[in-house]
Amino acid sequence: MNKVFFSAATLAAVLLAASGSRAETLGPVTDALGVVKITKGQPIQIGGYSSQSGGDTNQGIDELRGAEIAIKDAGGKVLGFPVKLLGEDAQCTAEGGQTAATKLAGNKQIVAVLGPSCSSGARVGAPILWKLGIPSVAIGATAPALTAADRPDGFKGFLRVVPNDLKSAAFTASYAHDKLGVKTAATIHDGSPYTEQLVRAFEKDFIAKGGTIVASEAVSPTDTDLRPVLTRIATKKPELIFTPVFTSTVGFLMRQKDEVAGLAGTKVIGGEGVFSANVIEAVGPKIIGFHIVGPSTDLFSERFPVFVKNFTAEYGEAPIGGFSAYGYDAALLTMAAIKEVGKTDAEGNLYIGRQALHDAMMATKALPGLTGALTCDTYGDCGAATYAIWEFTSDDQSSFAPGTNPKRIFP
Amino acid sequence: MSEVPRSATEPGAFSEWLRRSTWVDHVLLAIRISVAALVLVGLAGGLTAGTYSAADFVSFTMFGLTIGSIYALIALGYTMVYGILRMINFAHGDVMMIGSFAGLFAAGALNDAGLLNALPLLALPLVLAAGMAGGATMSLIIERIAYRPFLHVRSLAPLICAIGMSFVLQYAARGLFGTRNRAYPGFGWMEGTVSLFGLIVPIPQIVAFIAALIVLAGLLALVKLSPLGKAMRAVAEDRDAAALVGINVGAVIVATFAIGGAMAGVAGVLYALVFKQITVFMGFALGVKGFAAAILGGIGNLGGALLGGLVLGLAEALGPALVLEGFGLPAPYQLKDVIGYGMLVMILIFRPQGLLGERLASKRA
Repeated sequence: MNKVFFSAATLAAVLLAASGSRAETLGPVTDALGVVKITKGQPIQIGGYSSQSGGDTNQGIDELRGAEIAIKDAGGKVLGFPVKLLGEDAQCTAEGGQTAATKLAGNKQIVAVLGPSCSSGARVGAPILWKLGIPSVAIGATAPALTAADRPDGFKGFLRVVPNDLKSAAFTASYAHDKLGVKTAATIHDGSPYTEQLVRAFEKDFIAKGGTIVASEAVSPTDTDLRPVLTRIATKKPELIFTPVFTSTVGFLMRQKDEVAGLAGTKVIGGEGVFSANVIEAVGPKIIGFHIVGPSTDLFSERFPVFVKNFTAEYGEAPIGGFSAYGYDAALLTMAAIKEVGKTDAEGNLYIGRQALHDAMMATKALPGLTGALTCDTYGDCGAATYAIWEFTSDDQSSFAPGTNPKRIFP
Repeated sequence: MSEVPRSATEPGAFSEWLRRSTWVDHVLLAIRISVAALVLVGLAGGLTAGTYSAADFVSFTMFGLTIGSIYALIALGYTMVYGILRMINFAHGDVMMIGSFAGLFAAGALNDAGLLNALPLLALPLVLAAGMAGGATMSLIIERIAYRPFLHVRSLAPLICAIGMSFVLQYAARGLFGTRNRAYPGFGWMEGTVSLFGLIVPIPQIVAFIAALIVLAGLLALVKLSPLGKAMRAVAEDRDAAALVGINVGAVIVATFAIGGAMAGVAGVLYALVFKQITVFMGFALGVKGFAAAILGGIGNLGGALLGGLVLGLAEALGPALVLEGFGLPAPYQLKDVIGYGMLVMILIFRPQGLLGERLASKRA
């Protein structure tokens, strides 16, 4: 009995000590957050969590495939050690992010994690990982709050190679004000964090440019009758409506807009959430002339076409949009940082300090990535903005092909 | 104990009420007064804000009537089944979804044949018939599999089974038809708008409203005038007594489900005619609205379902503009459902039997 008590007390003492200061010296490396030792011949383990099931499966699978191509392009090795990517399913939900992050955090050999695909998963997953000193590089989570200056401490270890929504907002505001010469705009969001934060950022940027927001409205994602909202907006006579809402709402909005007196000539700009063939069916004939703001793979680095070729050769199908490129860049950034901080001892074992790795990742500057030059700011935003304005040109669903329908009209 | 001496003057109605009432009555009265005050303040503010013109309000009203008539069609299914089985068929909203998809496939086929654009007045009844057939068939299947085994069981099992059925239908449809939004093809000239007294009204709204009224009138005639309707009313009144006088109760229940399903199918097609987009998950929200309409009007009461649907539709269409606008809320339309469901809560508190009253409640009591 005493023995059991004693071992329990020892365990508690060890756990207490572990949860306090984590500074650790292992081999040649001393690090405030701990050191990962990789014995000679063992792989460097990088975790990955993205949407492997649910509605965004295609995106999530593509993202991790992109990361695998990046590892392959590096010869499968960093500092002479093979790199192993351990993928988990984060779905596109908070619960999925939590499960996947918890599972990855259980593996003490993991040095960094790529992902997730969605802000909801990042919100829960990133702090779980960072609590153990594991930095994460998001490949699809775009919500501004994740890298805001006042973000909670749990997000200090969070970086992303996908552009912050603030960049999309700034781009849209400058297109509307500087290119179209629009002076008055209205916005509609659907209450989701993504649409609301994006709309707020757009409003701020548009006002800063000297424009006026005449109406700032909200609907709910299940709303089917948007006429009253549109009527309300019509009374303020905006020249433009910016609304990054999702497919069904865009369908109702575009179909009903022309039924409201005074809105027939008003331009509508949607968000990247409707960058798909589905929106063509949802909107019907009114899709022609509908604008969206979305990332453009044409604006990625000149290496992207080569990547597409390699990807197709590897997986037997072409990547969807640019998702896989973000996965590639996340892996690239992580491997570059590992290369910088990894130290070997006389026996050929590799030591990686967790704090040092995080600092090296955050210090990334002008790293030539697939989506552009990656430079991280102090909050962990590393993405190169490659936005464009797209215009739909046909209501035939089968004609969906970025480049022709929708057609890139700016820049 | 000696009798309490009465005051010289007779107590007025108010003091009599004070004497008889309990604290519950006081609380209820306070709620009534505050709700009435809220609505009045909102109304006054909304009307003086002048955001909308009179034409806008007329247009909202017309839309409210259209969506209300669709709610009414769904509510009828709930109310008919409740009247006969005393059970809420929670899968009813999903029967409507199935009807809507049946209509979609019919419309697709007619569109391919070129009939939809050329002869919309012929095509629409065909699409409606497909929706009715789809809804009725699904309703019959549900009745056979999920409800008939519980016919003589007094428990919560049928209710739980109904909720389960709802999920089975949703996810079966998801597997068969996919999750993406599906759009109905255009019905030729019915896609346009007409100018009525200076108002621009979309034709689908008018068509849907008139079609709903025709179907509702047909249903009321069936229930009031036909032998089947008489049998339905008899079963609703007292199932055992009806059986004793030679009514085939089982057949009446089957017919009720079939008619309710057909009504839901019509609702599904008309909904799609107005909104153009359908998804496999739309049944739940619309089912809840239809259920709310049935409760609002007085469940078990056919006229009540009609009234409840129209009132709910109007409240949703006019509520945000009339009442919420008055409070200067930044985005009133986000709270549209608050108006509809808030009204439902009020009805349940102050008039649990619904606007027109549960038709059978008093007779049963």
